[in-house]
Amino acid sequence: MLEIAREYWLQILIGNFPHGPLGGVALTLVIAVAGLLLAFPTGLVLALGLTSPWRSVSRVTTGFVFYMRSVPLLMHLLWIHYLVLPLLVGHGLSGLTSVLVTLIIFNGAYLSQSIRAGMLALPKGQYEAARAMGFGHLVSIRHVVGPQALRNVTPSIVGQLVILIKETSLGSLIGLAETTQQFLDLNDRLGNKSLEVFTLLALTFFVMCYPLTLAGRWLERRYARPHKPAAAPAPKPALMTVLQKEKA
Amino acid sequence: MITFERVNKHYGALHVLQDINLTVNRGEVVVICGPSGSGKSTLLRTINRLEKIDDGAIHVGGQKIPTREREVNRFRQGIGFVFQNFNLFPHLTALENVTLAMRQLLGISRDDADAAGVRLLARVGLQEKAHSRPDQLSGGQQQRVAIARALGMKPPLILFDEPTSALDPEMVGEVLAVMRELAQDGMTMVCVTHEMGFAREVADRVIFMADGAILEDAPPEQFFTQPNCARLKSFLSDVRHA
Repeated sequence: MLEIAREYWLQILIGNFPHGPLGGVALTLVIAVAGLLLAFPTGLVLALGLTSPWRSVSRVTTGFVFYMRSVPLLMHLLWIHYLVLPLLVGHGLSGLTSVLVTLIIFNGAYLSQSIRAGMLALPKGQYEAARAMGFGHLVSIRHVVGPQALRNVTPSIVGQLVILIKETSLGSLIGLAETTQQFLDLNDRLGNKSLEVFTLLALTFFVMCYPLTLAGRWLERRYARPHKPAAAPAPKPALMTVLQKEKA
Repeated sequence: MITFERVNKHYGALHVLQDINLTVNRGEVVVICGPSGSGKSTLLRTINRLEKIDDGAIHVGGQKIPTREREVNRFRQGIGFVFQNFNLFPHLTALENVTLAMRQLLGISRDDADAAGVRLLARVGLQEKAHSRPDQLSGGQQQRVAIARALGMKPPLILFDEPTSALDPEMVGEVLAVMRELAQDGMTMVCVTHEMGFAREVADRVIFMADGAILEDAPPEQFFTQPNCARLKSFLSDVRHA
């Protein structure tokens, strides 16, 4: 296994780059980070839809999110790659585009549920106080509900990034040269080394994801703790001296 | 300033406001009391349309309460509201709580809003807490910041929904003192509260509600010494013995 890693580490890390498109771990990370950066605003918009006071908007959004969550990611990917995008733009698009679009919508749907839960977990009085001051619905979300809700869901956003990294492996099914595809190539090329190759694949993903899992756990612990007061309440020396004097 | 004409409201089968007729004049301090579930908070919350009414009409400042979203938002800017649970925004400092509406709704610059905010915090005795967050303040301090926040939009009218009910007893006084000063400055105030001392001393009129109806509406002297209805007599003796 170590020989494989020593021999092919560059391919695992960047694919055929610079002789071909970027691939391997680098491509996986690019997709995951770009995916999350775009899935996050998508999740925000969907969360606004889910919590919209307009019933038609919230119904349509709820239906869409429900659909995204009820169908396997792989099916979404095939559907979008072979049908939706070609129909929309008139020609087939690269595997990278399809994977990105799929991951953004799919993870946006999941994130929207977390964000919505974070909004609903706040005391009702927060939104009410904002509305009572004369803020409209969206302004109340922007300045009062949103900032508090997002703080609460930060750990689950990090968790979503971990999931996103792992989901990029589906790109190999539509010919994307990401990490899993590199290992599938190695498996074909080396023959009879499947155990080593796929163990190394598992380790590669573990190394990418585990630190993030730890970071998520750390964030969760940090946010679970209530805000620390800047200064500890001062002891009451005056009262103590009074009591001591009385004793004496 | 405020008039209710035959206002009714139902929660399902429950008739929470029954044919309410009420007038509050400019500069008046009106205290509403009554047993829990009597509809007093609901009545208060209809004034800035936190609760909708089924029929009847409410006028505030000569204007019928609007129903369109955008107009309701503008209408609410002219009414301060102080909640039982303060509802300060925990992610903002005391000063930011006070200035948020000024900056976002009136478009006042941060510097000008901060100056006005510090003055308002000084008015409730908390200028040195301007940069503290709500969880660093006591309940009484939080409620005083909430009052300063309500004053930020310079409303001619402030509604108080049991402003001292969530406070430890030793903090009630500081909040009532701020409210008393507001009353002396001529602010129109409608307060749902059980603080009978405050009602007796500060209110121009005291209203007793039970089962969604106004049973008594009298100046404090008469309210406490010669109550008309039996429900109020027993309520007053309960409150005294509490």
